[in-house]
Amino acid sequence: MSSSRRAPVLISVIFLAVILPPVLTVLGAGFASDTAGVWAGQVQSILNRPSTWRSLRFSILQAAVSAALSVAVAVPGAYLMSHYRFRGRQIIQSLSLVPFVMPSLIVILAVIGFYGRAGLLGRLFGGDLTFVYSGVGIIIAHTMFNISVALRIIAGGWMQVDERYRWVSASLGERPVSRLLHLHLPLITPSLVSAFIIVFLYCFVSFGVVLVFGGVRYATLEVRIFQEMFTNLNLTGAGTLAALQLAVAGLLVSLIQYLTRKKGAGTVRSGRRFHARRWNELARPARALAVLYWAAVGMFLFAPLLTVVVRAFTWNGGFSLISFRALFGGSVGTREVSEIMQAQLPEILMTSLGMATLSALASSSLAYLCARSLRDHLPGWLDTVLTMPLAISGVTLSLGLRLLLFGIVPELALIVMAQSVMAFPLVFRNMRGHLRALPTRYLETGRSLGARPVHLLWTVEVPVLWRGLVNTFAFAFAVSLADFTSVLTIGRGRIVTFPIAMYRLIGFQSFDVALALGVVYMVFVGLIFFVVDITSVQREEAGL
Amino acid sequence: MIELRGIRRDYGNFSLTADLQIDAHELLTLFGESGSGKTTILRLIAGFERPDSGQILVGGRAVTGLPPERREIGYVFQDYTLFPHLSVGKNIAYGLRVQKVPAEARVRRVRELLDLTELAGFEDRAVSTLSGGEQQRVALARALAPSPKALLLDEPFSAIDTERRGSLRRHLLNIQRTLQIPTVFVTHSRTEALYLSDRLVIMRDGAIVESGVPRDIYERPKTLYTARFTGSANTFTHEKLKRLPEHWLDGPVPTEGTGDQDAPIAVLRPEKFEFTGPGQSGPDGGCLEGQIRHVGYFGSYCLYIVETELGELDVQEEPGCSIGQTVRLCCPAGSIHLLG
Repeated sequence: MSSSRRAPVLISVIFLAVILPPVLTVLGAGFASDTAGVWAGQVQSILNRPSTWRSLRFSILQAAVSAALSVAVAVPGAYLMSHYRFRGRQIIQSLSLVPFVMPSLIVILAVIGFYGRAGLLGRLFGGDLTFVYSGVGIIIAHTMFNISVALRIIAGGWMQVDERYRWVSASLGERPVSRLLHLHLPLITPSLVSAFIIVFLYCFVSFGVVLVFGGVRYATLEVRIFQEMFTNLNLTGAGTLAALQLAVAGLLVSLIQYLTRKKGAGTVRSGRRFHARRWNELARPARALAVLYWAAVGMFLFAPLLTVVVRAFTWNGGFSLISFRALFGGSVGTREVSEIMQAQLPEILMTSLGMATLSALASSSLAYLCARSLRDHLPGWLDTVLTMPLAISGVTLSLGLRLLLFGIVPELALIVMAQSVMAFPLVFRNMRGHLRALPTRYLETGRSLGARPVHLLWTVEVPVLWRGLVNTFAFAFAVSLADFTSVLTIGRGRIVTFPIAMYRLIGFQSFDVALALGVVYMVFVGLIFFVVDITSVQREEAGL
Repeated sequence: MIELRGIRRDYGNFSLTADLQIDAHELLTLFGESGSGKTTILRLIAGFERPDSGQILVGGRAVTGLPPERREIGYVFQDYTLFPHLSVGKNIAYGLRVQKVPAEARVRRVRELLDLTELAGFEDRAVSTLSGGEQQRVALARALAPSPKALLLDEPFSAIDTERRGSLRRHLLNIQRTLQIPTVFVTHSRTEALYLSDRLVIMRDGAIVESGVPRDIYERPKTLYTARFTGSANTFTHEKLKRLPEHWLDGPVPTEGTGDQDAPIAVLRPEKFEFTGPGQSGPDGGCLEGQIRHVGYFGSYCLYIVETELGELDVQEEPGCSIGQTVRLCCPAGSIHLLG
């Protein structure tokens, strides 16, 4: 018991020790180098700028709309996922994650390619579509990113609802619609809220999407922090904006949590009995609706991504490999592609792969340690602490690490640190879910048979959890591989990964080569996932 | 032998105290309602939890501070917890592998245990293909394989069909008699508790209420809680006792206490009653007259509820009487047990 009492405190202390110094460094940036009067003046001038408040308003608005949309779109899917067994359920779950693990830049290219000027939609319906070059485009991209997140969280919450409640409700004569409103809704409110909050935070601190999309008019605070730091070279300004962003994020999240908690939406933990029903238990019209729903969601998520692929293979209206030829050692106009990207393709590949592997190793093993020692008891406050990196923007954290440790720790290691901290909250959640496959009793049994904890790790924990561990690792890997923020902020262009190369190509207006690089990236990630999936199944079949 | 000396464990809203000795060959049952602390005692002995104070000794060795893996105590959970990634044989061999027993000896020991638990031929089966009872036997075999110094069983039969339980119980008894290791068994099934135990320990609210051989506990319980928990019981207050034939009691009627006059101070098991025909007197004279209000049929016997001048009484008798019938109730001398 004493160890389980200590674990939460110990973990939060270590966690805060990693996060707080860089964040505080950014928040207090400029304070040390200037006199107090000068500093206060600078802070005031930032806060007096109308653009600051415009950015804040826009940040909140787009995040709220994106989160509400993501949750709304995800609810029917979550219901189907959590209540019915149907063919392709697993595939849908994996596929829905695809946009989330794509670099933001690919998603942007996809959105523009589909909805934008001369995009597929424009060509189909005619007319010059420009709505995408505004906040709407940002919201579309954010929703594409986050539907899978909402889907997972809500479906997970729904699966926790004891199935027997449904039987009781049915036996009392309640109709399905009433049941949905009066029984299910209150029970899944906590997961709806947590899905909303997580998606909101993701969008609130979104960087890549807004950086490329928004221009000056639609900048979020996150982009402003970056600009203040690296374009205006105003440390105090960056710190002030970061503080503002953090304060607002914290305030909004606490407010939402307070409001929903007050409504008495307690967590449901009883029973956990759950049976997925067969697909054909769904009435025929409902089945048709469900198929329609999946088709629509599928279109929304994949039609734009598909245009990326199609366009990459198109030149002057016909099939062509010209973009790929350019990418693999060719040139655009007078400039070598490798010169634009400032790195050779194999080098980009190795850097991306190496860093993502390290980050994923770090975040998933940390997540495992935390999830394991907190499995029986995760206090609410600690859950909040561990979710903090979502509210602390990637730019702030990366900037802080750079300011604090640049020159002491190699840039690569700093990026790995930033990536693993940023990925931690979701990786941790993911891991916690998988850990349910191994109840504490198994470990106790092992120990009563004389196995030490380390021995148990290799003979019971890893083999039993193998699939979950690999799954979490792959997820962490993909998230780190797609990371654009910390590589750009810490690496400052010297370290070139896929997203950075893509960013440069877009900046040089070589969209076609950027699309080709996007396709290479997708193939690459797909291949890794495929290999991981195959090997983990084989291992399982071999009984390892 | 297992010894618990002055054990205290505080959970804030629940605290447990225990002093207990389990002899070397004894099968001891911890019996009580849910939340009475039975499982906590097992977990303390196993080392899954540590006491706030007190000492635990196993075979004369203090193990209080030792982690579970160094205690050499076998533990069987209610839901078997067989490792899903290992075959039956590998599950059983798990503890032997940990002890680095050479392969040859390991195979021999696994065979022995498969024989002992009547699972020969199951060695290579996947655990998911076994029935509940088979899984439970594998769990038992796995716990026994490293020759533990004690065996702890946490409601091992509660997830198994009633029909299968009987054979499993016999099985457990045979194994325990063969191996002669101290065994602690937790249950809230009265049948299991009475049938299996060498000694029965009754628990309530985190404390041991009383302990003894099953027959003593059943027939001469010290507390009303024990009496009711070990079987159905007719209870009598001081006032009612005075209106019964004196020789029915197993002792002198106590002088009126100062305590609660409505609190029962004596119990009578329903099977002690006999129906006697009208006019006939009981074996020792003195009978109660009453009318049958309800008949519960249990096959080999019936449980009748009989309305008498002392209120409703439970009577266990052969089937044959019906509702509304007037009966005379008698019982042998010393049948009513005075609590305390």
